[in-house]
Amino acid sequence: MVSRPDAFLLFFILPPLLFVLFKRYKRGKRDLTAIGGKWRSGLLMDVFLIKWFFSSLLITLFVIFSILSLAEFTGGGKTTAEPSSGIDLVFTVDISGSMLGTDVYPSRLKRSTDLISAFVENLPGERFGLVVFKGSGIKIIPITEDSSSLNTVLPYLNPDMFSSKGSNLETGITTAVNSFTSGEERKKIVLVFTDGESFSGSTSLLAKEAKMKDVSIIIFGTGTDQGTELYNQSGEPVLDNKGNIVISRQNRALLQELALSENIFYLNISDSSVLNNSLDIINKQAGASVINNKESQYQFFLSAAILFLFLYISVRIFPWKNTF
Amino acid sequence: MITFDFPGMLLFIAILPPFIFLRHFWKNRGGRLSFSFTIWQKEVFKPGIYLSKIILFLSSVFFWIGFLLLLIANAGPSLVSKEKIYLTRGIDIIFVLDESPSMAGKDFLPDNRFESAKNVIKTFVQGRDHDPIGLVSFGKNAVLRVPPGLDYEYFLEHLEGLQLMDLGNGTAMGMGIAVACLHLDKSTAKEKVIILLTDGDNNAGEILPESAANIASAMGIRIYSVGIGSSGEVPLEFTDPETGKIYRGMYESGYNEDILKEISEITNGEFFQAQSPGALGTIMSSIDSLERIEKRTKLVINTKPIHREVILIGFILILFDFFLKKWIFREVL
Repeated sequence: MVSRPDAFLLFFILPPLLFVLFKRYKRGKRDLTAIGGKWRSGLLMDVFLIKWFFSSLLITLFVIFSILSLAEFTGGGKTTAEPSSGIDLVFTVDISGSMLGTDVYPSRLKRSTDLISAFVENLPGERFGLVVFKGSGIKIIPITEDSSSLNTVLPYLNPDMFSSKGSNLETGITTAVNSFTSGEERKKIVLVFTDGESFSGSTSLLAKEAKMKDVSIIIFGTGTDQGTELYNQSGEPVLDNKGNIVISRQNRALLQELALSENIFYLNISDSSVLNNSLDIINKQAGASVINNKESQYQFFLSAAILFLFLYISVRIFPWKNTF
Repeated sequence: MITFDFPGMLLFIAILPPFIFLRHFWKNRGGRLSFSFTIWQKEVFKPGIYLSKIILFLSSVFFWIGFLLLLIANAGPSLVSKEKIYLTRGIDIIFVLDESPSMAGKDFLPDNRFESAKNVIKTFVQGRDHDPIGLVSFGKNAVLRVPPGLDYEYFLEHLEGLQLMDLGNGTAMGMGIAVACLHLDKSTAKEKVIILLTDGDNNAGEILPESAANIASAMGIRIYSVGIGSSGEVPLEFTDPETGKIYRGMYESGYNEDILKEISEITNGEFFQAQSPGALGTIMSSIDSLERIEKRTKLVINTKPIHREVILIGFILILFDFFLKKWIFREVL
């Protein structure tokens, strides 16, 4: 099995490599005829052809085998399952203005906090934390067994809690990922509640960082595809710069794109089975942290590549038939 | 730290120096062709340009470094990190700290009582290891500031942010204990402890300290109560957080020793008197040593293979040398 197929992209080096090699062959032949003189051109051409052929072959083989070693073929080995000793969940709630959208009853934010309460009820004995984010992420409750402190805070989540503007999903998740404490073998899960709207920040490195820290992420998309108008405190619809009414929708494409990585999941909060589905994912993630002990077979390919490289240099180093 | 899965493979590095010699310094090395200028019949070559010599030299250095990296990668390099994993559950500790204006009493020089208390709590927390610690403060009301948890950084940040009279003028000691008990309710710890620091008598809140102590006792929570301050008249100075107005004056100090003693007795804890910052520090370290349980830990060694990164860098260096010499400098062999 290939665990890093992206390495195969490096095969695009081969055409320019071969191109350069053939160009050098032509040039070498021309130069040799010019400087070698006719009386020994036969011998020179033989040596050149043979040396050129072997050095080209060897460097090409070196490139191919190096790429194969980078592709990390794995085989054999064993997969062990280790049960974790509990779950730490960090709820990460988007509290930007668009979360007040009412296309999900009673509102996107309220539906999110209701779901959080349901999680706390359904996962007794686990530990919880709470992070909220707008333009930046803030840890409201550090990881604790004391779920009552969470229940106390939930009703008060709203966009006016913090003055920072925007909805930076990246800092929200980063704050959550970094709020886990060390020193225990507990499964770490971040539950994100967001509509993905007016998104800023970059998410490309998120999956990588989460994976490195062994954190799973479940994203709950709030809001509908049709969207809804947003209203300000005086009850008037929010307008954009041109005076049009702002329609807020769930940015489903972005959230689903994030969930392409293996430790990130996406669920729509409007699904009726969202609680059961997410509890399934949580229990599956917590039940066994699978450790892949599959041995990479890169060494076989790398040793071959190194051998070819040695031979490649040797072809040039050692003169043949007392010529060059 | 870097370790190697197959350190024996590193011996192959010894082949490099002879090869470098053969490739660059050996007199009979191949790749060079002597020829006659008579046959050439063209102009004599110009001496090589200095800059191009430097570039060619660097390019060769790149090649050999790349080669070295490949040999290192073949020995299976891994980054090793250690992590201490606790197998036993620590003690849950909640500090219940008095925030009433009398805590501004200046008999705890150089600071006041409140700042001294904050300092000793800070020292206490920094000395603990894997025990969940929480914080409740009380004035006229009592609130949970930090739920019991292992995030000490968060705890210290919020301890630092506490202000006198934030919760009004009063000493709701019973409420403070009750709030702490409420937030220890879900705790799975075998040992649960409340450390109460106050300098006054209970005069606010709906719950009497004795009743709160009974709740704690029923929940198996021990309360260590610490009475802060000397008796008699004490100078006092504090800033009202709402109005910003500074208050100064003398104040007849004294905490209700009987109640504090009773609270500790009901809950199998202990009562301490702290009349100076030094005494307070000593009391905290004795509570610290009383509340220690044996901790079992294991050391987990995490290894992260880095051969792929090393191969990639080596590979790029070698290809760089190849294309530079063949493409730009048009090396034939």
